Amino acid sequence: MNEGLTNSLKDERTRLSLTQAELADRIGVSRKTINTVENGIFVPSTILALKLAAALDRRVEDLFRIVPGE
Amino acid sequence: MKSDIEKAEAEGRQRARIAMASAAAFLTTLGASTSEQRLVDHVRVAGWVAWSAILLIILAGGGGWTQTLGVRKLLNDEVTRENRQRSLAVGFWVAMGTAAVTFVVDHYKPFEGQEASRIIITFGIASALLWFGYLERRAHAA
Repeated sequence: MNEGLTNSLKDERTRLSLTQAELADRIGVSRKTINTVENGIFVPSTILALKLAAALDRRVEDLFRIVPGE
Repeated sequence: MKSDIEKAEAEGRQRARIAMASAAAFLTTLGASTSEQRLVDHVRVAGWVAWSAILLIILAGGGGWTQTLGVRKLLNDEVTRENRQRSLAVGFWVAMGTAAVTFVVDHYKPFEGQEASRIIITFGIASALLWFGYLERRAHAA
């Protein structure tokens, strides 16, 4: 069974009216990193996930969810 | 005045393009035979060695050395570090495959040691660079 990871990063970012570049600037990463996480291309490290959650004032488990595979 | 994020964005896109173009250009060096021992061939081999070293440094270090520390940090963030690891793995396996092919072909058409090394290293570096450029371009375009 393959598990996947989904996230609500884009929804939470737009909730705060932040651009990808602004969120990237808040946590000290490139815009590309935000972009790839939002699109599910890149699975962030625990440190990055914690930074993202803190910047968006959410818990990590509110941002990221495991999707069971078939 | 551009911010560090904007500079890293532009530099990262440029690095991806340069990586792919350099890999393609590097592959064309395979067409140049070094089987003769003329002075021009020694110069050609020396040029190839220097080029290989530069490409390896770019691949391992990430480039952007003219930029500030902040921009370089953004240029080599988590995504790029993972892309680099994946592309180095691709380069390793392509080099192993190329070595296996030269080993077999050597039975029918013997290679000199230097020539076989050149083929293996060229394919290994070029494939790693190509893959790195592809992954970086995909990350920017996503």
